[in-house]
Amino acid sequence: MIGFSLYSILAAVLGLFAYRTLHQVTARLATVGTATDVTATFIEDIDVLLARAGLLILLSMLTILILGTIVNIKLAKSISDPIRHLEEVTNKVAAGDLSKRIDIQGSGEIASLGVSFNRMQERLVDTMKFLELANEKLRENRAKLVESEKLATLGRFSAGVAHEINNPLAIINEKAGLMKDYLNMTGDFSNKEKFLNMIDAISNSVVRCSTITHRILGFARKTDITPETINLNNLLEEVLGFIEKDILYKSIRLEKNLHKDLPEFVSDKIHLQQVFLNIIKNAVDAVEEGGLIRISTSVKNDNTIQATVTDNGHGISSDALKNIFEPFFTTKEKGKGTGLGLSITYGIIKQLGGNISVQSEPNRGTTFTIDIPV
Amino acid sequence: MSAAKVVIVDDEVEFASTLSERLTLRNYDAKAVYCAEDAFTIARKDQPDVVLLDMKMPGMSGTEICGIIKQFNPAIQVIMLTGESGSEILPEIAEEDVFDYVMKPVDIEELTRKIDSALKKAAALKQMDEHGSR
Repeated sequence: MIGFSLYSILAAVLGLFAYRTLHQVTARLATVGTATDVTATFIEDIDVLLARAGLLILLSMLTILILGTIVNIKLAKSISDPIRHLEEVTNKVAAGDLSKRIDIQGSGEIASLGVSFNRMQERLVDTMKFLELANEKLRENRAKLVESEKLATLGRFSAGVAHEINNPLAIINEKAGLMKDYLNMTGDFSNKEKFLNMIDAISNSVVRCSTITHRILGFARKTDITPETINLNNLLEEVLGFIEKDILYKSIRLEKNLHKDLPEFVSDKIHLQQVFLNIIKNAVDAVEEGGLIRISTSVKNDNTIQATVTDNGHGISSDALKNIFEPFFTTKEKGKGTGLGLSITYGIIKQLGGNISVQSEPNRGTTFTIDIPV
Repeated sequence: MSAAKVVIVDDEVEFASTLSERLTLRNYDAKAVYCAEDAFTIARKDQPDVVLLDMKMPGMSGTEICGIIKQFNPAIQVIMLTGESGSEILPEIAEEDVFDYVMKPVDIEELTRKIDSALKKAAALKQMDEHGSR
């Protein structure tokens, strides 16, 4: 741009010199003008021609100046506009708007600067995304840690309570039982039947309470993890062994779809047994006589193996599904379920770093999916 | 044949004494003791057939008491009384020679059924022993 300005000024100066030289020639010719008539006319002609040439030079000088200025202004604009755009975008990015990008025009140095800027911008966005993700993960892990610590504390606390309640319950049960024993040995008296019924009600209530205390005591034992090598397929077979009788009794069809080369992993065996015992027991309770339960294991990815337990039982309503892992939530009849099974299951799976989810459709069946880290 | 000797070991006095009375009503020769030391004395002197052992005794766990009783007389059959369910305590009692377990609060039918099968096993062991010593 500066080069072009210098060039037009130089042209103007040169033009000026040419004009002055011509003017001097005309003046000199005027002094010899008187010699002869012929030469005089000739000289006059030359004089006119020279004056015209001078004017032409002046005009061309002016044109060069004007054109030069216009070209200069255009050129300056073509450079300053992208720079201003660059500045604008930089300011916006600095203010935190990472979505802004440079509009690339042409192919010069400024354009390649814009391309670099945009590339840097992409990298920045990627890094930000990565950091956000890492931060999220960190927060999640911290929550998990807090959760498992809470669970352990809750476990110890409720175990103490459950133990303290279970012993007097056992006494109530024995006393009521002994009362019944004596009543049965005694001859008929007024209200005997009534007494017997009341004793039965006491005994039944004891059973209801003890289902809860037993569950809590079982749960509490499981707040400490004892790691051992586990083959999930073997573990499932063991669990099925525990409830073989229930499955036979209800003539349930059991389909096993166990992945042959399941990687072994280190985890707490008793915990996992409890998890699958709870889920399979629920499936057994959910199906009608002759119902179907399908148990499968698979490798989800390098870090996770998956187990699913599917039944074709009565299913769970979407309302109940929302609360399914809440403690003391149950859809079973009063006295049939404690509402602790799945919440304990959920707690255990989370503590092991796994995941549990449930899909269900009323009257169609339910599927529990459990992911276990290996 | 004399009544089968059953000893209940539990620090909950009301529980153990009442259960003992109920077993007596069902024609067992039942006795209750409330601490580990008394359990050892009675195991040595009375030669019980079956011992019902609380899993959680003060100072000593049921499985430890079981191990000591078995040293006095391996023929004594031990049934554990526990507040926890099967899958949880199975690994623990599997280490000792425990015949079976019953959950507290106790279902008396279940308990007598298990005592009877424990008695059968004790009788079978005794017979084998007699054959062996002859």
